[in-house]
Formats: sequence, structure tokens, C-alpha cells
Amino acid sequence: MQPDEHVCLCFRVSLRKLVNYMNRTKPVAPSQLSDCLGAGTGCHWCVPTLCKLHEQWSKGQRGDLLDEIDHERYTQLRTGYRKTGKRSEPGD
Amino acid sequence: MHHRCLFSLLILCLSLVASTPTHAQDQVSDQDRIKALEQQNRELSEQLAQKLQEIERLKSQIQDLRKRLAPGLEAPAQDARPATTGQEEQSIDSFSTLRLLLENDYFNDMRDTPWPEGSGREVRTQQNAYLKALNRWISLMNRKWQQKIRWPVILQDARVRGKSLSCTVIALDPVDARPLGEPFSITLDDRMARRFSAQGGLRVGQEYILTGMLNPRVYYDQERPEPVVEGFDRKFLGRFVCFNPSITVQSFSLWNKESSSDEDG
Repeated sequence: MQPDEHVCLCFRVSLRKLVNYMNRTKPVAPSQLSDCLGAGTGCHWCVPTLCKLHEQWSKGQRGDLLDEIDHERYTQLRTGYRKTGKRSEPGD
Repeated sequence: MHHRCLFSLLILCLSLVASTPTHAQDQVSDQDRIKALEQQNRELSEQLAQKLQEIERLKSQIQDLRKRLAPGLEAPAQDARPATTGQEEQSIDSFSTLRLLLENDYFNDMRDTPWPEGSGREVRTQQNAYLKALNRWISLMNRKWQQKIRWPVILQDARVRGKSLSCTVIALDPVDARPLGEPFSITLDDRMARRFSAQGGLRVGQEYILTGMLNPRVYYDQERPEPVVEGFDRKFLGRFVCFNPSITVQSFSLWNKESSSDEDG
């Protein structure tokens, strides 16, 4: 995922904003990311991704965060999730 | 006695001689260990400093929240009237504050009334009584926290929806323009939309003053005995109770900070 791509698609919160927020506020729990422009509080699709992001950041990783996620696919899968309420790929 | 001393000395010398080759290695590994421990110590000290900073931040946040909630704690829920009628009404500056006030009320009013678990006729009767009380509480909250608002906001997005405009905004602190809580949507009717398009349109990133009526929209949701995702479910207030606030917009205009502070002062 690129820094300017949105992790939270409901509130359009980019990876860059979330990383800056974490660097600034040093959140101890993933749910604190919801204070960053409401990330994760809309459809909840991005919550596992926020948890993953927080985990990577907590382990000291600073570059290539969420690098393993293809944003296009991430967005597509969310469309399915919003229709059915079910995640086709756990952890996405 | 003399022999014993000599024997002890011999043992000591032997042990010293025996330990000499490994001693240098031990020293090296000890130094490594010391370095590693020093590094660990530095990291832990840094973490401690961060945690202390975090504690201080949370303490001041708690104090701030207590100050905000103080009038709400004093007022018994049964006597609560629509906030708009009171002289000393608790003014709400964002949906986040509304959430805190509702959570506070829910805690105060419902904490002594646990959900009756189990089955059977008696339990069902108790559950029905609980739901009746809950619905009364919901109506009360919707009256209590409905109020006129005048919030500075920053525009995040604006899209045309038929003749009206759907805007995403974030409430701002009137003092330092700090964002308060998450973004929310408002609808500007065709009259306001026409006015803005005549003035060259709305600008994303621009600060505006939003006035209107805040509707808490607390509602019963039997599908929600618990939050959907712990920590991320901002609609959830308690068992079977959610809220989805909205604002009926009355005006939306550019934020003139100087005249605002005059009015506030």
C-alpha cells in the first residue's frame, strides 16, 4: 500500500496520516487509531488492517508498512464485504 | 594448619591458572552483555519516558472530560428537559462530546439495571420491563441532548447530490482550531448550494461556521447486544442502544475567527 492510499475508505484516512498520527501520539492499542479522523469507525472493514499496521509499527517497523497489501484488491474486497457483511479473506 | 594454608593457596593458584584462558573471553562477553544491557536500559528508559508522557496526556484529558461532564453528573436524568430550554445547558462542541455525555448518562442511569439473563416466563417479564425502561431512556436522551449548535468546521469533501450538496466536515475547537472527533456528513439544501456556487463554490480545507440543530438520534437496536468491533464501534452506547447523530443545517458560512472570538467573549 502506498502512503497516500486510503486505509480507511469510509473516512478517507491515508496510510501517511495514520503513520504520522502513530509517530506523534504513540498509541498503545490499535483502537486508539480510531481517534485519527475516525479511522475504522465506519464500516469496520479496515479494522484488521489497522491492527496489522499498529502491530508493524509497534515492532519498530517504519518503512514499507502494509507493503503486503495490494490497494486495488483491498478496495475490491471491501465492496464485497459491504454487500454481504462478510470478509472473503480473513485479515484483509 | 600450615599445610592447610599451603593447600588452599595451591588450589587458588590452580584455579586462577585454569581460568586464565577463558577469562579474556568472559570479559569480552561480559562487555557485550553490559553493552546490550545498557542499550536495553536506554530503550526502557525511553519507553518509560514515553509512557509517563502518555500518562500525563491522559490525566489532562481525564481532567478535561471531568470538567465537561460535571454539570451532567449533577443533573438527575429524570428531571432532564430538552437542553435547548435550559439557561445553563451543556453545550456540545462535537459528536465526540455528545458521545461522552451519552455514555455518562447511560452509565449513571442504567448501571444498576443489569439485563436479566436466562429464559422462562419471569425472566421474559423482567426483560420486557428492562426494554420499556430502555426505550424511555432513549426518548429522554433524544430530548435532552437535542440542541442548537454553532460549530467551526473544516470542509473535507463536497459532492453534488441532486440539487443539494453533501459535505463531509470535521468539528474544530473554536480556540485553537484543533479537530474534534471524526468526520461527519451534512447536507446543504439547494438554496445554500446555489449561494455557494454563485460565490465560486466551497473549498476543501476551508474553515466554516456551521449552525443548525443537533439530533442525537439515540435508538434501540436489538441486533446489537455488544459492540461490533470493540474500540471501533462509535455508534454503540450499551446493550441494544446505539446512536447516529445528525445535524439539520441552518446556515453554513466562512469562519471569521476574529468576529467569532468577539461574539464568544
